[in-house]
Amino acid sequence: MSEEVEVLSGNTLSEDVEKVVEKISNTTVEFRVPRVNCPEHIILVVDVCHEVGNTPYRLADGSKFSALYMVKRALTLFLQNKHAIDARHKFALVLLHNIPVWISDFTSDPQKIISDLELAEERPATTHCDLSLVFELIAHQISLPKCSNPSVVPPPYMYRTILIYGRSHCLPQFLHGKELFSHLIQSPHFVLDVLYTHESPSDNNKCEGIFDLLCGLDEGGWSYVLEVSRNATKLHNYFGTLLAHPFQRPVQKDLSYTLVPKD
Amino acid sequence: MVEIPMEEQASLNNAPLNMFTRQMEYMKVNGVPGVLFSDCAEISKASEAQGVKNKGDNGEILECRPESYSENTLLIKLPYAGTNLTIHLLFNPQEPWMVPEMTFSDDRFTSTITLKDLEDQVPSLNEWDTSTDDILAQLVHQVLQLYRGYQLDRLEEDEILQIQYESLLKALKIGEGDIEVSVNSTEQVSTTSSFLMRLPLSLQDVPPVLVDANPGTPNTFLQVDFPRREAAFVPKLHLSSCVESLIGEASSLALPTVPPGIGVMDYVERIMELLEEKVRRTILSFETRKQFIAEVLCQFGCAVVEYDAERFNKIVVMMEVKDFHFLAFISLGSLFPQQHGPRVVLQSLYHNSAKEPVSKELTDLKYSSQWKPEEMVQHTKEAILANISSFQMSSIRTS
Repeated sequence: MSEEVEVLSGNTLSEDVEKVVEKISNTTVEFRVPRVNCPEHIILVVDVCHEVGNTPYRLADGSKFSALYMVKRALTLFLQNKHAIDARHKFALVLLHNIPVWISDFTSDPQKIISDLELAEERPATTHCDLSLVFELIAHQISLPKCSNPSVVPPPYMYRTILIYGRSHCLPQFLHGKELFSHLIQSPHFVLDVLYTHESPSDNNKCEGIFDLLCGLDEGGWSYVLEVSRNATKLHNYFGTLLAHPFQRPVQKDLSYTLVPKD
Repeated sequence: MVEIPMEEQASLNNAPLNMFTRQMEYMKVNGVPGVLFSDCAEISKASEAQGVKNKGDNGEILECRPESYSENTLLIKLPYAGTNLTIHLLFNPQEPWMVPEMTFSDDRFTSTITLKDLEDQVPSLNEWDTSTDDILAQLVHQVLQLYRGYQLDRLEEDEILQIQYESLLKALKIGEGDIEVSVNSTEQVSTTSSFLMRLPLSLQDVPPVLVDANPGTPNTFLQVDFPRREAAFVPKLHLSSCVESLIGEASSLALPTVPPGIGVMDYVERIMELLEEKVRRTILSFETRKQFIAEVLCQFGCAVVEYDAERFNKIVVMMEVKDFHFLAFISLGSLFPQQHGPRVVLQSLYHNSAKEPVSKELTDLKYSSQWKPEEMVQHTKEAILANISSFQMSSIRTS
């Protein structure tokens, strides 16, 4: 599948004003699309870099597992649960090393992705991470649905990218421009979520700076940006959080799962 | 649906039958105007010995196949008034493009109609052009109209049936186009007269999302067979799949027994009431599901994962009890709310088997169809709380 990319020539003044107005109205509680659970086409972007000195996850029974291993386990449950919620959802797999590689095309069979994921191996860390390449790859692989009236008519499907970034020393950046990223993000049918798995923040790493950068990817306020250090339970919980359908879920700050008995 | 059985396709090297592939395709795609009965399953009255026929017997609109003993004949079998009318078209092997000779499975019809009738009422025979795609469809339509007229003439000879027919038209407020009549000779005790009528069951109050879920026109037909003058008539209900998806499969609906002496009109009115009640229940179920889902959203809005926003059949919520997070799948089946409460399955975020996450269906959920949605949701919540520790224990053990 290839996406025809529009080359946006310079905006007129009225277009700029329109963008600002749109941004303001998007920060209120109103949704840009009807709250219908249309099928999701989920692109999982999994960072396979292993940095020297990365600490493993340690479980209560003393066993140790690498970060990638834990992500694979939690992602398996995510895929199985998401499929159980609605078998129409589809998944694609991208592995991120020095460049992103499109491993599996969209399939509604979670087992296919799980098998491909199993084969993914840790790779040594690179010096940089170019986000432009990630979104360029995605933009070329997908075809955004054309909807005449997106605030009223639900699309036949929507895209969600879940970026699972695992480096504590390498800042992810747009080294080749943000045009394709912006083009994707402006569509009401494209959502980006981020799960950042990292070392414990300290003066020896850049975790906080990286997290700030990743939060910056949430331009519209609709994304979930989650971070976890080496806590296996929390990692699995966050994959649970990510199960929620972007068109029906609460905004991140409103999330609350506690079930309180009626006294 | 036009069907050419596979084994016969090999012998379709003949000009006439190859010639009509397009015309048969036309009828397959566009349907045949004039045929009342299409895409229905059949049920019999509960007390009758007749079994339920499977869809294959009644699902075909028409069948075109070459006669086994004559390669130049096309048979077009049309469902009519609960039985069939077959048109035999015999082509001249030397000049297959010429107008065929036509006979019918109904011998009395064949012998009753005159050449003049055919000239006046089946004009496609005069304008026979094998290059037009709809020539067969036109022929079939015109023949059916002729046949209907013939049957209505026969009806005038049977006073009682005639009265039943007219009272039905009046009571149901349907037109002549909504009812097919097949009047059979009363000398032959074994043949039956039948009416097949399209019942005016209104679906206008049904939420469009439920109607649109199934393709095809929503049709409800009642077939009434009159085996002998003195005997009771036999009703059979046929529902198109669209209607079945709304009010249940035809086989699950029991028609009331025919009380002795009742007129067809009165019986049909009872059937209409039965069907209308079913439609009302479907609408009520939908509304209740919607309210239930709304109540869950109200109480768990900040934890909603996904829900069916069109038919309100399901909602999935994520919950946490003492730092233990899990999913609750709540589904509302076709028996909700009258006969069955919500089905609740707890599912793990941490433990799985090779195929799926560990899950547990709640079996001790208290439920009453009399409760308001808030009460139903409250009891669901309590049942979940009561089952959490055992679910937690079993997930660790199972994985």
